[in-house]
Order: sequence, then C-alpha cells, then structure tokens
Amino acid sequence: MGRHWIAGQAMVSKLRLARIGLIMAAASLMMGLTWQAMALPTTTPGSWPLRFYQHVLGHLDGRNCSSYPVCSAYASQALTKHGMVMGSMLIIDRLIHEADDLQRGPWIVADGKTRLYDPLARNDFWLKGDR
Amino acid sequence: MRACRRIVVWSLVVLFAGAAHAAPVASDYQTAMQLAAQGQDVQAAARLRERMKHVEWDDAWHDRLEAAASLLESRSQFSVDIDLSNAPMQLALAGGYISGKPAPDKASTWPVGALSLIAPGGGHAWLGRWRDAGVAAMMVWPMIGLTLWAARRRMGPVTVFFALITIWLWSGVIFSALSMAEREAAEAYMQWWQGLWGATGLPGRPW
Repeated sequence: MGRHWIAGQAMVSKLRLARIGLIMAAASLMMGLTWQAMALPTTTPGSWPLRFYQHVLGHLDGRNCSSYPVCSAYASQALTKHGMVMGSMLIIDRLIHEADDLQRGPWIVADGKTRLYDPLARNDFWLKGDR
Repeated sequence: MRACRRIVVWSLVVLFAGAAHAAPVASDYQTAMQLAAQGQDVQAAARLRERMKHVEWDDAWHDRLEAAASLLESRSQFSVDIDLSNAPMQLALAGGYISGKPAPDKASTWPVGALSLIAPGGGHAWLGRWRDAGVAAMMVWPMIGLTLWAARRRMGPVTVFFALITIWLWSGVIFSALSMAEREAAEAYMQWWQGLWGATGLPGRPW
C-alpha cells in the first residue's frame, strides 16, 4: 500500500513538473509572438528603460512632446551617438532648454502639429571640437 | 545690311559660346552649394577651389568661386577672419556690411560654467534664459536638500544614492549652460555669416 502510494506521489510530481514545463513553454511562445506582433526593435540592456518608455509608457501619456524629434527619439539618438555619459548630459540639456526654446522657436510642422525644431545636430555640434 | 547681319550672327555665336563655357561652372557651383547646404563646407570649398583652376583669371566666375570658397572655409571654422583679397568686387561689397554689422563675439563659456557650478541655474540666468534657469534650479536644488537631509540622518547608502543623482543632474546643468552659450554664439555667427553672404552678391544659398 505504502509503496503504491509513494509511486503514485512520484507520478503526480512528475506530471506537475511536466505541466509547469508546458505552461512555461506556452508562456514563452506567447511572449515571443506578442513581441513579434508589436514589432519591437532589438535592444540592449542599457536602452531598456528608453524602449520601455517608447513602446509602453509613451502610448499611455498621450504623446505630448512639443519638440521634433520627440524627446525619446532625441534621447535614443544621443545615447547611440555619444554613449551613456555624454548622451545623458544631452538628454538633461534637452529637458532644460526646452523651457525657453518653446518661446523662441524655430518651428516645424510634423505629424500635423507645430513643434519646436530641435535636432541633435543643433546641440552637439560643439562637442566635435570644430571650434 | 550684310555687315549688320554678320555682326548679329557673330554676336550670337560669341554669346552662345560664352553661355556654353559658363554653364558647367554654374552647375559645379550649384553642386558645391548643395554640398554646403548639407553641412559639408570643407568639401564644397575644395570643389570650388578645384574648379577655379580651370577658369580664366579675368572671368567673373573666378572671383565668385574664390569668394564663395573663402566664405565657406571661414564658416567651417566659425571664423570671422575672411580673406577676400583675391575677389575685389566681393571684398568691396563685404566691407560695407562688416563695417555696419560687426562680427559677433565668440562664446564666453567661462562665466556661464562657473555660475552653473556655484549655483545651478545661474549660468542659464546669465544667458537670459530665465525659464531654463528655473528648470535647472528645480532639478538640482531639491536633490541637494535631499542629499543633505539623508546625510544628516546618516542614512549611508541612501545618501550615496542621492549624492550620485545630484552630481549627475548638476553636471547636466553645467553641460546645458555651456551648450546654450555655444549654441547661441554659433547661431549669432550663422546669422551674421548669412548676411555677409547676401551682401557679397554671391548666387545660391548654401544653408
């Protein structure tokens, strides 16, 4: 009786493990398909927070950046071109200087909305050591 | 009557020959202008100088090419020392403009950087960017307060965490003030340079 019960328990735990494995495989498949359906770009761990903002939070906060390119796109360009340290300085700079630039321009019509034209080249030209 | 006809025919021949000769120069000039408009001033100037070698010294295009190349070279270095001595017509025209509108000063980054270092937001205020100064101050001053608050309570890692964020934001504020000083000086220079280009009567708009 005892031996049968132990064998039955072993079988149950094996089945439980198999079920967990199947659930995890299905979840993995679903996540893969969702990722594909959302057409998310390949990314590096360093840019996960930015990608998370661009593809998840950005859709929730109403896309209300007044500049062109939008701040997250600008941040992405800055990080790609100048790396984490200088890129983050350029991001802080964008967040600060937008306050006065919004009163001064220049303006551009993008996606049917008048936006402040503030490309990365306008702010990082002096980092190249041309002057 | 026959002589008149001959004169007209020969005049037309000379005119067309001149136009045929000038057309490639004009098209090369336009190509250089397009390059310059894309920010490739050095390449555009080199192209103009190369083309200049194949133009007669007394041709009007010679002076235009020389003046345009000099102006583009100066723009590539944000320089106000522009040598137009080999293009007398453009030099005379530019002289009037420069005497009426002197070249803007170079960026004064020292006071801006020092003020931002002493008091976050001060550098932006020095530049007259009061809204930016407010944003910069709001970014850093509360973090300084938070760091001091944590330090007074000997909160160890929390203090370090706040201190690191403060240093990062403070550095960003100094960087931003320097960047604004550089950008404002560069934009003032570009405006002055575009006026100078217009004053010299050169064709095309390399911007």
